[in-house]
Amino acid sequence: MKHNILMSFLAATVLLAVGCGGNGTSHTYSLTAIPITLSGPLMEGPNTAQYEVSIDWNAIGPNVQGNVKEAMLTAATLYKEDGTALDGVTGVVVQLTADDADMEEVAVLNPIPSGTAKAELQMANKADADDYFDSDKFYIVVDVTMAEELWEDLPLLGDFTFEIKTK
Amino acid sequence: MKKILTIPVFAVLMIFMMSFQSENGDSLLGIWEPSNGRARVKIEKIGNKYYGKIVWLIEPNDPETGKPKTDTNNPDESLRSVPLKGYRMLKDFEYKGDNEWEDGTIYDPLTGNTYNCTIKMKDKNTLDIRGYIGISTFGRTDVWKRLEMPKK
Repeated sequence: MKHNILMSFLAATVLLAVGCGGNGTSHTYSLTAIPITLSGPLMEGPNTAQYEVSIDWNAIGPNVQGNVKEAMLTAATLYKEDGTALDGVTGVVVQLTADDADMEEVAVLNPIPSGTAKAELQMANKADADDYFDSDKFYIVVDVTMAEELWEDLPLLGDFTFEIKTK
Repeated sequence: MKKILTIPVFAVLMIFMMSFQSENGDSLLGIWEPSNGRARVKIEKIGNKYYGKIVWLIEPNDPETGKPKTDTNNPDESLRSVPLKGYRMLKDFEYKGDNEWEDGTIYDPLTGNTYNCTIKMKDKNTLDIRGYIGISTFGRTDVWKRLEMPKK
């Protein structure tokens, strides 16, 4: 009986530690199907689209604003709304920046294999996003490499997931 | 009479717009060529800061592989597949007035090193780009020229 109580206590302690990430709490902030539109005409080579993120603190969780200890981009995916292959797109690089923080490259996929419909980007070793959660907005900057010129807009959608730990 | 009044008003408006463009730093926007002529860099504005990405390379492909060059010298191994054409080598410049942009960095893809950097516009088609470590006294200045797009 004593043994069972002790084991239950230990298990609860471990769960609490994992859930709280040590000192604070862990949260996931997902941006889903955000518009990443490249305005045409697009030239062969690199073209840029940007999206301004107004951080929805309520969606992240209570008492997170002003208490972010660590933030990291953990997943980034780019795709077309109709689900067709990203033909003509040979590479993608994602950067984050803010008015009060320096730009960092956080994810890349180059080359994009032919026929890929959902480009799941590889995270940089240092995909830290702490500084971008110090204010209420930051920018996702997407550089798309085109195989050839395109005389129209290229509307893409992006899913981005951030893992956030509080103090 | 109306025409006589319209011309001076238009001229004043144009002068005001030109001075505003210069004062808010957007005169830096455009495509520029470093002195070695081996690359061209497009300077854009994101938020309230200025960034320059490589849009043309004299030698876009790796002579050994025949494939487009990537950032093989990046200190972060996970970013060595980033295409060099498109790489943002100028980052985070803020306009400080008097045709100067500061607090930015310049990246040298040949070495993988990043330097502090200031930009001074000498005239509307010429930039002094000064990279340095620590204090700007110990650095090197390169002169970049604006590339004008051919008018149709």
